[in-house]
Amino acid sequence: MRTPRAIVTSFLILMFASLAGSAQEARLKSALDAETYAKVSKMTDSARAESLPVDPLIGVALEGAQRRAPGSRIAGAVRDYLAALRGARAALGSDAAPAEIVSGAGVLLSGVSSDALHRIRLAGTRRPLTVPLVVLADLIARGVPKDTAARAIEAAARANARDDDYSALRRYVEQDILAGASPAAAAMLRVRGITGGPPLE
Amino acid sequence: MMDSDRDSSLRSDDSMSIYSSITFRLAAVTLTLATSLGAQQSWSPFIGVGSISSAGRTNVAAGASAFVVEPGALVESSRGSVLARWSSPVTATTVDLTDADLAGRLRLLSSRRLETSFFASATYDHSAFNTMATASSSARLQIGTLSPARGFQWAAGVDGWRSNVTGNGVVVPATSISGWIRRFGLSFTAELSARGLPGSTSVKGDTIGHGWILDSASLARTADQLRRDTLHGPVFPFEPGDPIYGTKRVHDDHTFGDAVLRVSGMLMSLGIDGQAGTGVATGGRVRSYGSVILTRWISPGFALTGGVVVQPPQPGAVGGRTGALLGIRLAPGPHLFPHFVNAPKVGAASCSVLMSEGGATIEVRAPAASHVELSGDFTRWTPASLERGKGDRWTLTTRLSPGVHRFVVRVDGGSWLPVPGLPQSVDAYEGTVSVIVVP
Repeated sequence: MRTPRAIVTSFLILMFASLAGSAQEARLKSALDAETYAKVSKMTDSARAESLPVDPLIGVALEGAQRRAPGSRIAGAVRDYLAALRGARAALGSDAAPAEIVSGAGVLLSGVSSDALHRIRLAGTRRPLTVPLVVLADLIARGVPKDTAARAIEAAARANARDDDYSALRRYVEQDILAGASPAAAAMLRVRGITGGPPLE
Repeated sequence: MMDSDRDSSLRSDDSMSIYSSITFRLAAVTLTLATSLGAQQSWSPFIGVGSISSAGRTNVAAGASAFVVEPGALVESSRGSVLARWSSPVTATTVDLTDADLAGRLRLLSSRRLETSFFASATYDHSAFNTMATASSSARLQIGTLSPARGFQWAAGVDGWRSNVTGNGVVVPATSISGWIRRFGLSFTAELSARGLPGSTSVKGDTIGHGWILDSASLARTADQLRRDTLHGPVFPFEPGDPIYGTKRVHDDHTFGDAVLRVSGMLMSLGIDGQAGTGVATGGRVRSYGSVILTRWISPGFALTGGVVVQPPQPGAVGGRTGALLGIRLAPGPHLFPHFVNAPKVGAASCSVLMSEGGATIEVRAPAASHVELSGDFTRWTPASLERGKGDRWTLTTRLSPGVHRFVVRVDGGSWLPVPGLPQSVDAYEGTVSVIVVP
């Protein structure tokens, strides 16, 4: 049986969460025109109903407003992100943590296929995939071909790499690229430090 | 007497050759040193088609001959910046345009609102196409405001240049005043500048107010100079002695007044770099010039770029140049390497995050910055000012919930960019953002 203190605490948490959500909604409403706000609200409602993370969608809309993107572009970006969130959860499994879904969506938006994402999930079942997927998106942003980057992360996940290993992989690849190495060669070579095997072909 | 003149001209050519190539060599040495010391560096190859017209002739380059490599290094500290850069086509047959730039800005004294600085630059511009190789340099003492979004700068110093065509060497006093304002990620600058008139008696072949005719001996010296200055075995547009310019008048007016309006920066994922100017030269000549280069980022590292350029004649050159380019540009991020260091503000050099209970302290190192802002999902994408710490360190302590957080940083009202040192990710608007993962 719940004590009165626990009930009050729960009530306060719910109240603050509601206020924070209201503040976010108000900020969204003031940043967007009415038509765009209506479209974005519809999509955030859908995400909420599907138990997908909503904050990143609002963030995408606010980011677009900050960049002075037209309303149609903002609505399109939110739509793409919502699709990526759905795709990430489908690829990572219904038990994926919100942070994994968000980082998986980033990977899908970078051009990696949902099949490749699913293979990474299967390869790394023993550890959370948030950091590996963030590093995967980083490698692609630095010019590593997406298939090469996905196979590198998959190989590292199969080798049961830790978050520190992925962070080191990102750092070394960044250094190699700055030193003049091709992004693909840097990724293929550096992942050997984790897998201990021959370089990826 | 004639022998004496010939010896004199040979000595002049030799010294000119040294003068012309010294900028290139200095840029190469600075680039090598900076790279070995771990300075920020950039390769930004351009592949496409380009045309250049000068003195009634047009050259169109495409494919391999239009593959241009632009390596550069930027060294930054709280005391100033040094930029070394060169641009060269990768081809074994022609060197239509090769230029090297070396520029440095040293902060001298600064208060809360004003900064004095010293700026020096040298440029070597070599074009085999229109038989021009010009080395120019400038040195300025400057005083400017340190406002983040707008300001002005006054500069006074000297300009110097030499030309392979006329053999002139000139040093003149120069001054400029400029004002800028930053809006929507773009920097708008208006500048008025003036140069003193060169002394006509002390400069060989440099007569104010009228042209002079190149003779065959001048052509031979020019061809010889080109042969020695060219890097990759040039194809000469003429043989020594060929009187291709024998009947051409070479105008060598010296600009003494310029008014220029520039706009540069990133608008969404579109890079804009444009200028329009008018110069008034000796003899009452008015020359208008301008350029527009647009770069549309398709993805990080890949962009479409195109534009047109109308250049007035460089001092000592045969004529002005008109060019156009269209192609792709490959670069490590959605921003081009800074080609200009004479601005009181520079971007972030590095970033680190110190996680603590329920939050994080984000530290950005931004040498010479006067205002640093951060915008991300944890600020509801509203700009938040960072607090100035020791030296070039700026910090923001904030609460971060577990998960993936994205943000960008803006220095002195410039473009919103990801910071070096943290993972990056493509955002929904074809830009790149920095990423923090909170376990």
